[in-house]
Amino acid sequence: MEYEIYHQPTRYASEDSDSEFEEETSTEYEPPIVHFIPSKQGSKLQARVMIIGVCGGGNVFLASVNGKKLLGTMLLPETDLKGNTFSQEALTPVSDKNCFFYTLESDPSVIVVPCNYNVNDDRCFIWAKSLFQHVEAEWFVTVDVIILDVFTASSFITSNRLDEQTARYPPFVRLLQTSAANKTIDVPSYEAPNLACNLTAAILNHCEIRNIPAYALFSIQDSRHGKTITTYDTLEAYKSALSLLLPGTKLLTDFDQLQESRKVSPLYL
Amino acid sequence: MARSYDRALTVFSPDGHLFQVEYAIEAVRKGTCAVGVRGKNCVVLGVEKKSVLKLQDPRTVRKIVMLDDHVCMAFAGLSADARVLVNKARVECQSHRLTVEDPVSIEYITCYIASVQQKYTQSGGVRPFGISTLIMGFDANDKTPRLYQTDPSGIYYAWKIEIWLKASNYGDYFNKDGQELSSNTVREFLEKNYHDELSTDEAIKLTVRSLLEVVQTGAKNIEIAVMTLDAGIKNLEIDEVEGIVTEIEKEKEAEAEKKKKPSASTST
Repeated sequence: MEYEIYHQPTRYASEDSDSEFEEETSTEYEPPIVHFIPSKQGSKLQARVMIIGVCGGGNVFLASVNGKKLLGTMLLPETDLKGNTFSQEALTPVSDKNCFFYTLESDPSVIVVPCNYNVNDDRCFIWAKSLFQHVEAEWFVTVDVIILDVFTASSFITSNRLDEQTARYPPFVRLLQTSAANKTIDVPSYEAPNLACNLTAAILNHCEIRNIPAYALFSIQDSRHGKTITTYDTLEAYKSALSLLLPGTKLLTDFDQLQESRKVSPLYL
Repeated sequence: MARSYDRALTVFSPDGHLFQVEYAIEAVRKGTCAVGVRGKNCVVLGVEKKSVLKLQDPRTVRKIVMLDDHVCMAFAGLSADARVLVNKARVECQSHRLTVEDPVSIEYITCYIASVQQKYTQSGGVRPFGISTLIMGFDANDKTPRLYQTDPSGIYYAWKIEIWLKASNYGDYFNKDGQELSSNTVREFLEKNYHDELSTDEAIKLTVRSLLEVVQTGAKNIEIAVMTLDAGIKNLEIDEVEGIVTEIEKEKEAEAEKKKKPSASTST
C-alpha cells in the first residue's frame, strides 16, 4: 500500500503566493436620502403614530391599506431599483424596492412607512437614525411607533411545546415594547430567546434610548422550500393586534387587491 | 451540468433528463388550480378562474372547454398552447365521427392528445406544449364516468381524483388555517374524503372544498362543470357555487368547534 505523506503547515516556510490577508475593500455608502413631495411644507413629518412595515410581511400589510396619501420617500443608495415599475400612483406593487411615507386620509396624524427593500444589518442603525431625524411630534406629546415584523414558524423557540391547535389558531402574533410604551394589550409577549433582528431591532433600540414608546408586532410567516410566504393569516394577525393598539384609528385594508396587483402573467391560465 | 443539456429539446442529459420537458411541466405550475373528481355517475371539473378585467369579455378566458358533446377538458399552463391543442383535438373528434361513424371514446381522445404532446418532445425546432389537461366524459353506450390526465411529456393517466396547484408566491401555498399546502397535501385530503360511491352532490362538494383550500377569494373565482349521463354537461351558476361554499364553511366552523371543546376540558 502506498501512503501519501502530508506535511504540517508551518509558519516558517516561505510561500510564493501573495499575502493571505489582502486589504479589505469596504464600500462605504452614503446615508439614506429622504425626499418629500413638493407640496409638503417643512422638512419633517409630524405624527402622532408611525407604523413601519419591515420588508417581508409588515410592508405587505401596509400595502393593503387604502386611503393613503403620499408624503415622501427614503432612498437607500445601495438598493438596486432596476426591477421597479414607473408607477406614479400611491399604491405601488409590493415587489417594487422602495420606501414611501404615507399619511392616512382619514387620520393625517398617522404616518405609514412600508419598507419594501431589505436593509443590511450594518445599515439598519443609520436607516433608523435617518428616519427619526425627519419625524417630530410637534403638536403631540410623543410619537407612538409601531413596527410590523414577521418570524417563521421554524425559527420560533418556545420553552414548552405549543399545543397544535393554539399554535396554528389565528391570529398568531407576539409583542415587544420599549419601557416607555405604557399601553397594555391582550397580545402575548415575544418570548425569549427569540430575537428581534435587523430594522426592528435598530428601531426598538433607537426608541428605547430616546424614551419613545414603540411596539413591535411579530406575526407568523410560513415558508416553503426555504421561501417565506405571506398568507392571509399573517395579515389578519396584524389587523387584530393593531385594532387593540389603535382603537380609534380605522385601517381600511383590502387584501384582495394585493392578489391582483402582483405581477400576473397573461400567458398562463 | 443542466445548463449544457437544457437548451435543446431532443438531447438527453447524461443522467437521462429531458430538461425542456421538465421545464414545460414547470410552466404548467404557473397556471391556476384545476381539480377533477369522478363520482359514481358523474365527473366534476373545477378550476380557479383568473379575475377578468372589467373591459374584457369573460367568454375569451375559459379554462374548461368542450372537445365534443360528450368530452370536456380543463387545462393548466400556457393558454395559447391550450388553444392549439384544443383545436387539434376537436378536429380529431369530428374526423373520428366521419371515419368510424362513432363518437370518440374518452381514452381515445386522451391518447390522441397525449400523442400530439409527445410528438412535440421528440422533434427539432419545436418546443413541448406547456399545458397539462384533465379530460372527462362518458363513452358511448357506457355508464361509467371517465377522467384522464395528460401532461407535457405525453404521458396520460386515468384518475379518480386529480388536482394541480399553482406554484407561485403570496398565499397560494397555504390555506386559511396556516397549514402548508402542496399538491400532495391536498391529495391526502382528497384521499381521505374520497370513496368510489360518491354521489353527484358529494363529488361537487368535494371539488369545491378542495378548490377552497387554494382559492383565497371564494366562490367568485371558482368555475365548476358537472357531466352526467342524463343531463350532459352543466356549468354551475355562481349562486349555486356560493351556496355550496356557504355550506362548506358552516361545516368547517362546526368541525373547528368540535376540536376546541376537548382542549378546553383538558386545561381545567
